[in-house]
Amino acid sequence: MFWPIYGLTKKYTEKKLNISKLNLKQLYIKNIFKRSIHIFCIDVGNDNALNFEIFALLSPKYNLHRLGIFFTQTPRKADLLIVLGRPTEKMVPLMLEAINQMPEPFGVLLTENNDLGISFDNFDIPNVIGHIKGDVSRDEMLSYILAFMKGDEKK
Amino acid sequence: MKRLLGIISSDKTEKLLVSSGTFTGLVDLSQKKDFKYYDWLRDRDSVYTDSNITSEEVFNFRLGPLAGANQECSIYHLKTYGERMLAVNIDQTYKSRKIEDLMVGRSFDEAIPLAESVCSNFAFSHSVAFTQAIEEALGLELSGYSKLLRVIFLEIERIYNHIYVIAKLSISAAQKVYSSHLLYLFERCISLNSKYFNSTFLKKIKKVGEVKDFPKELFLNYLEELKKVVNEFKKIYNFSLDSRNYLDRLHNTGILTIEDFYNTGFDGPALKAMNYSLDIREFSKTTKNFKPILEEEGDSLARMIVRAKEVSQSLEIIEESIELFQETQPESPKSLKTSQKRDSGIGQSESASGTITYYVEIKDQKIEFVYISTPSTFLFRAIQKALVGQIFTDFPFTVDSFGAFFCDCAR
Repeated sequence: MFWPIYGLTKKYTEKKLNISKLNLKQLYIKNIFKRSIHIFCIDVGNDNALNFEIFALLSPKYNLHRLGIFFTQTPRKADLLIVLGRPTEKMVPLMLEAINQMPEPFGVLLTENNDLGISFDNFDIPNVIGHIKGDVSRDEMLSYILAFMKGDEKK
Repeated sequence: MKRLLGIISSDKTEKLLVSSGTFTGLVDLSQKKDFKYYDWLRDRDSVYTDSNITSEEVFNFRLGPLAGANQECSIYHLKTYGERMLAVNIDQTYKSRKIEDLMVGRSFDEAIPLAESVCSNFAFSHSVAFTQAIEEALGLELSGYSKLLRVIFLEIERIYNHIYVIAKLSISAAQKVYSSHLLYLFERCISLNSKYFNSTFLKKIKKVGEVKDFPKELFLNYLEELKKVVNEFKKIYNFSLDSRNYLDRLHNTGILTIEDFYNTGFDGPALKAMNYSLDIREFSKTTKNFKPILEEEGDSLARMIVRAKEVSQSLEIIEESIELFQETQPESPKSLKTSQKRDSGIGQSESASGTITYYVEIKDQKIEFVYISTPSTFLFRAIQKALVGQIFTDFPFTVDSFGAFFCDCAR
């Protein structure tokens, strides 16, 4: 037999795993999107700490796909925009245009870990779900993302 | 072998900041003819222009500043007729934060966080180079105890940066299982930093004349956990070497020659991959028996191998240093003779991607002038050279293998 078809006929997983017998605690998540969310991250001039935190979030430790969190490469397909760092002068129009390109409904998470760059107070950014300052950790970013997914009030 | 690290234009005179391994200092402008990249380095804050090829078939493919392929905001202008890259111009100006200007007029303690913010993943290397320049200007010498701590933290920083670069390469090569393992180990490394040293990127540890002290037992516990990470890394790295699919993507990709070194002046693992080294640890008294890891091919694979071997080497250095550290007692920094005190100083440290150099002039306990020479400045110039002639598919394998960062380059 052609080997891929042979593999399909075996159905190893289904035989071994009887879902009805498993006592799984079902967690209800009130998700405003009723589906997984897609995130677009933009670096607007941070010192790489925030880029590294996002990179570390992709570690299997967090297993983001299990939570329905995916990263996308365009604002037009994103539900949440994470702005990494305060913007440099040249990045301001690009940041604002990225926000402009987001489809409704959307959220914006602002992060900054130092005083370099232009303060976010100078811009009227819509739908800000959180503004993390100081030593921004990936755990904190994840907690904002999960709160956003659940539809919680912004912190 | 000597490198031009920067051009210092303070007090209306221009001097060259030159390094040759054993010597680092200012030399007269008449030596500029020895360095082919003098003109480019003088204008280092402008767009890195390689060539402006114009032809009917050639078009400019712009990648960035907000592109998924670029983690940082920057633009690659790839001149191409469709498949091969004929010339590459790099615009790093989007990331410029003018840190050198911001440092002027600040006290030393205020300026250290700025030095750390040049590039957070090299935060400790930057703070070491900066404070070393200040210490030289003030006529201070670190105690043996602090020097050991400095070595330990520099090697810790090197380990997680190398794992990061190799993880990036494995992601580019679509090695899903391998990259997941590496991502886990990378995350583990920076988690250990937070757990033991209260800073993910080893910030706020180096100060002028001292290194923040931690209990000796803490280092022993840390070492045990780090050994597990490095052993796991070695195991999966050796597995990866069996994958021809993976290695073929890196082999013969982004080859650099010694001519490229003379034209651009890069160092770090990129230079070691060509069988040359200007690693300052070789000439340091604290790391006496250090021998740089060298490879011969000069391609992405050689750069990756150098980094992977350096992970093990760094662990050995940490082990030796922690052993010595257990027997050493804390001391105050030694003050040198008054005659040795100057109003300027040069500090250097070996980061994961090359040598970081600071030239600092001080007046009344404040910064009067600072010049920062970072490895990424030169590495992006090398990337420009390495990309020419490559096909698009090889773009991530070439760029990621250098471990260059735009925030480090644009400052």
